[in-house]
Amino acid sequence: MNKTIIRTENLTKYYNKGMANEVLAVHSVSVGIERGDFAVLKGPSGSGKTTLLSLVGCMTRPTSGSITVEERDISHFPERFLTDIRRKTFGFIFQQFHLIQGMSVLQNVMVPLFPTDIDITLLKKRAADILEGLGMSKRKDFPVQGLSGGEQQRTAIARALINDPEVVLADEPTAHLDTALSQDYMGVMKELWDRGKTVIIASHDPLVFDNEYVTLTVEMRDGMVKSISRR
Amino acid sequence: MSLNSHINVLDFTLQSLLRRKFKNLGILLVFTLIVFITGSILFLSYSFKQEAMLILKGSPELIVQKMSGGRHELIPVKISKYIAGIPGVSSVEPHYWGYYYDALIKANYTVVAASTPLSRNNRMLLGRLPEKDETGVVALGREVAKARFVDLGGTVALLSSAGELLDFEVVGIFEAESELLTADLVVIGLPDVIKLFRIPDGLATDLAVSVSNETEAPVIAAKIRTEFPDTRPILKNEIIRTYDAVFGWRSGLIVTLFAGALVAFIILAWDKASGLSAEEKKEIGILKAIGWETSDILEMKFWEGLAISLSSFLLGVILAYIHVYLFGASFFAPALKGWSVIYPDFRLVPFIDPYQIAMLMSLTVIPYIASTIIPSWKAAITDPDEVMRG
Repeated sequence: MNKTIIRTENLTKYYNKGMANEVLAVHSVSVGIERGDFAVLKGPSGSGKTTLLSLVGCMTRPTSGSITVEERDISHFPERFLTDIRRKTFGFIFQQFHLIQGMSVLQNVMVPLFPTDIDITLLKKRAADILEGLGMSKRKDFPVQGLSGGEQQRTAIARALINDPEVVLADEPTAHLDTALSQDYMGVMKELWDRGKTVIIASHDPLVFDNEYVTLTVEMRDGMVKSISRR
Repeated sequence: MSLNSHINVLDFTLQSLLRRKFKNLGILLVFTLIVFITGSILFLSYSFKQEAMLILKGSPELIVQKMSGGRHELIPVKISKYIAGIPGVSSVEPHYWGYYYDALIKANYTVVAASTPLSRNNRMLLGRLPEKDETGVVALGREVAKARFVDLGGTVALLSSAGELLDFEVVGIFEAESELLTADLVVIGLPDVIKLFRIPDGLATDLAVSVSNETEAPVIAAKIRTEFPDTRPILKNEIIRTYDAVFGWRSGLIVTLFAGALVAFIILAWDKASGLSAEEKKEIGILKAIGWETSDILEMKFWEGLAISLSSFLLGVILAYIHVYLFGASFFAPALKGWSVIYPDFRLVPFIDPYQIAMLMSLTVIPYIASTIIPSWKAAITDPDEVMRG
């Protein structure tokens, strides 16, 4: 099995290309992420780290350049295949959590696998087990809008793990958390990493990128890679 | 996708509907109301037409009336001899009838002389019909009896054209096979009809001509017209066509009245269903980002549209059915029913035209589902990260 799980070559992404509000979000980025990496994309706001995370997570297509995920060039894959990769390979934790309001914690965790062949009873059990592992058992039937920030964060983590992904992607996960909750969150991430998951986090928080277990740091500025360091 | 995935998506859809229960309930109510109104009109007008067909089932193929100055006049009975001689005519029978205005209850009755077709077409609720030559007895349509507060054995007085008060003993109360035209019917013996309306000797209201082969009726009508230019032979088919046009026109009138409501519904449905709220757009973005395909989202929206529109449709149709066939279409009946003050008490036999139901369904359910799916499809085909940023 190839060590590199994700590779980008001269990756460029424009938003609204050719229009007055054209933005060059990522410019000629070439980076390789290995299996089992704890990678951090760091940089100030607007540096392009979230866009890079979206690109490697198959959420958006590059304007030019290529992305290889598990040895497949997915840059020009049709939407259906990208969805399949998103569903099987990646687990996403969004900056705003993006939980579905009005649904319970358990239902939110189950949502990614609804359109699959999985039996609903099995899905419920799997979701309940993950929530238990994250200390959220008591809250599983609670509507998500009534949760604290930390609990929402854990629900979002549980949802990212429901498909047992190889890669966990997180966008600015500590942006809305205090120091204690941020450390708590990083503890969960480390645990996942210890269990063999590849973790990629976009963050400008030193609490994230200053950790000794971070194996790869990609520093970005103005859409370009400023430095890449591996430990 | 396997069956499990469809069940899971349906499960999620139903949860989504419950999450937006107030919005969806609002759409459901308005949708149901529109289907109810349109369905009621369709049921009612179709049943009217069927009722009219029932009435005409036993009627003669031709009715010959005399015209004078463009108006209906009493016809000489003697011409029936000539008509009976036309090849193809099996019998000619003079009919005696007229309209009677009852000042007491401000209603019009149709007073008819007792005859065989009447006993064939009407179901006696109580008593019997008068014999053709019997005098001093009357059989009343159920609604007339109700309006005059009389029962079997009671007396009804009618004022003759000569100003003489004629007393009739009620010997029967009947209900017609079709209620539509006979609720206001009063049946008395022939001598009493002649006396009541002062019909001169040798004249009748019209002539009923029975023809052995119905296809020959137009030819016979033409012959009568040639021989007696001042008569108007009316074909059964013409009456059917008139009923069709009248009820079609009347239901069209109601549809026009409700057109405003219909347009309001379309605007509401379009606005509610097509205008995805920011929250719904975001939700589609989330679903795509966490691994839902565009087709999964479209399936969800299809179930959503189907659940709302089909349940509204079924509810509306069931309510319309109850309204028309159990409650006598109390909302629209005055506009659609007869011209008399005495309205038929509707116990319409449920006639449902599957074609009309299918039409109503295709005009309500399908556009609604389309208006739900199209904007969702637009939101679902964009990159999930753009949906979430935007």
